[in-house]
Amino acid sequence: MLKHLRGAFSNDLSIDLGTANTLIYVRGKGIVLNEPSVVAIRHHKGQKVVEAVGKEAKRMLGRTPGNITAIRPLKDGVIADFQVTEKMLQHFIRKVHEANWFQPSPRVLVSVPCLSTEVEKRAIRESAMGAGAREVRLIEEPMAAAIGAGLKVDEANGSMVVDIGGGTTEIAVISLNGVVYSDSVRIGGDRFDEAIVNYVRRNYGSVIGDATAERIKQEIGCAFAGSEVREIDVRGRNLAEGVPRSFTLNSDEILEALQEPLAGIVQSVKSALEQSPPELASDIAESGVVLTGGGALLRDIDRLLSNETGLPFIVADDPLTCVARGGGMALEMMDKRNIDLLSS
Amino acid sequence: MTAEHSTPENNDAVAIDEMPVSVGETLRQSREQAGLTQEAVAQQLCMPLGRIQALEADDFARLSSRTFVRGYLRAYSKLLEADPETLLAIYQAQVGDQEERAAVLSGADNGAGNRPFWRPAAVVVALIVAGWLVSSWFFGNRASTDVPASSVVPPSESVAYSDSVANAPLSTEPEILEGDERVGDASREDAESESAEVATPSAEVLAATRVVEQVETPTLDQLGLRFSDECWLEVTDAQGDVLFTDLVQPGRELALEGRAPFQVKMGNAQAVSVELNGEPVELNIPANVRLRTVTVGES
Repeated sequence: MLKHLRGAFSNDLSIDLGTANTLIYVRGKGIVLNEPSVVAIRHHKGQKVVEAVGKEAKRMLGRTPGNITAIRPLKDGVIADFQVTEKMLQHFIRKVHEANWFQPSPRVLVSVPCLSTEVEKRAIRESAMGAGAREVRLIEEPMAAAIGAGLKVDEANGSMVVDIGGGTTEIAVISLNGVVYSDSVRIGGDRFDEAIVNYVRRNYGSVIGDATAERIKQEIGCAFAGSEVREIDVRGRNLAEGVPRSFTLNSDEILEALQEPLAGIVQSVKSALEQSPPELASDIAESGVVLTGGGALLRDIDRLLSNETGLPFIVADDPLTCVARGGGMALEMMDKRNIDLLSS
Repeated sequence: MTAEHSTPENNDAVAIDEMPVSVGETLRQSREQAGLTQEAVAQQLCMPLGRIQALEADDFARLSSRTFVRGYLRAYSKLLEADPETLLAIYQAQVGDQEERAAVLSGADNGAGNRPFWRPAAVVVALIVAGWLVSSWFFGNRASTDVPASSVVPPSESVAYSDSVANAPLSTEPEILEGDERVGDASREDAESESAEVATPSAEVLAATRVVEQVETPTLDQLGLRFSDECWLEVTDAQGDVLFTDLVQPGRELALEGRAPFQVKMGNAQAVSVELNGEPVELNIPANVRLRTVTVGES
């Protein structure tokens, strides 16, 4: 009863609970929150206290003293630390409703990876409930991504979406408001960073942190040979000497470093195309495949996939927010036309 | 690739200079400057040749949704090393700025954001009304126990009263007005707090009877009967209540009060003369008739 009363003062939310970033879309307002999914926890006399959440906590990653740990509660698209995820969601939901006097109790639509198990879905549902939601609905991530990218999912026309997130890459063929084929591989932005860290350690004998690796990827990373070569100066701890050293990396080296995770994505896209029904495959070949998610911002990833598959690949507008926007639109569509877009 | 590398700045310049020109024209010019054929572009972008031709002919209807058109334009301008944003701006201007979203949510896009606005308002209004009801019940309850006489009269009473005002004699008018006011007050308060009635039934009944006594006396009709001979008589009022039944001795006068019309049954009709509210009533009874029933004061 009280939850419903408070609910009248809350907005419907669509949450993209991602491994790397959490985005919240509010109906009628758009994307209101885009923060890293990081929580810093202080251990104080055997108790855990949340020190910081989001951007602030991300700056602490890898820079914390002994009694503070900065952790990412989601791993590979699913919840790895239930309690911390709940705390993080609670913090974000409150932040979105900052102007309210009451404790918010919104209806929430959360996107989940398409191959997540019942246990994983339940964990997401319960952590959202624990964070104060009065009703939780789940939608499959590629479905939300397709809606957010502006594809006409309700037509009898196949569309294919590749959503490269922080933890997973989701591939789905969608037609008539339903997912015809879907696949999820645990390769994403995090694996790219990891590959860069490993490459630098192997070739330069130096250790760099995840944050540095991410910066390298964003600034000079590319997925296809032949575009202009860029360079970046980075500093890491030299393994042999034990002191920080500065060195220069170029985009060809990063391309080499990223070969393995990129090959994984290409492989799963190919197998998705192999397994989609012929009619839908021909629709896809005609119009092309849409790339969404942070991974779509990797330079020339569309050209790599086009070259490997022979199909046009296009990057959606504002690929980072596609899933959250799509979730918001799905909420509106469901309310107005009573369409069932939810995952069971 | 070497061809595009040679003139990147040139292409940019073309795109900016020819802002008003259509997307297809811009693409064609840039492509020709880069020395590429449509086939070469189609091959490099892995797109069907028809799509490239449609893009250059500004025939967006042949292409699928706007998401794809924007994607193609971005890929195409990247291939020509032009600034994709310039091209997208031209495209946006060309197709107008209807929202892509509207197409997705076809036909059902109005009032989306309205819901969150009225819901909190509705709850606030409901809370205020509930609070007002509770407080008026609480204070109304206290008031009715303090001054029971003026508090409550059932609404039917006031209706009956106003009905009779027209028939009442002039002399009683001031009293009527006073009563009227009181009834008005009472019924107003009554509407405000229904619960008061339920809470104090004894007080209400008391108040009601008292007010009715005061109010009813002047409203009743006066039936006057005079007898020149011995006569049996029965008088019934409008509600069917028997007001009088007896044998009346000659020379006697009867004054009855009740609501008109009266049913008067007479055993010796020739001996009776009737007055209603002080005015004589003509009975028109034939000479040989003795037993007769008449209705007096029928409107």
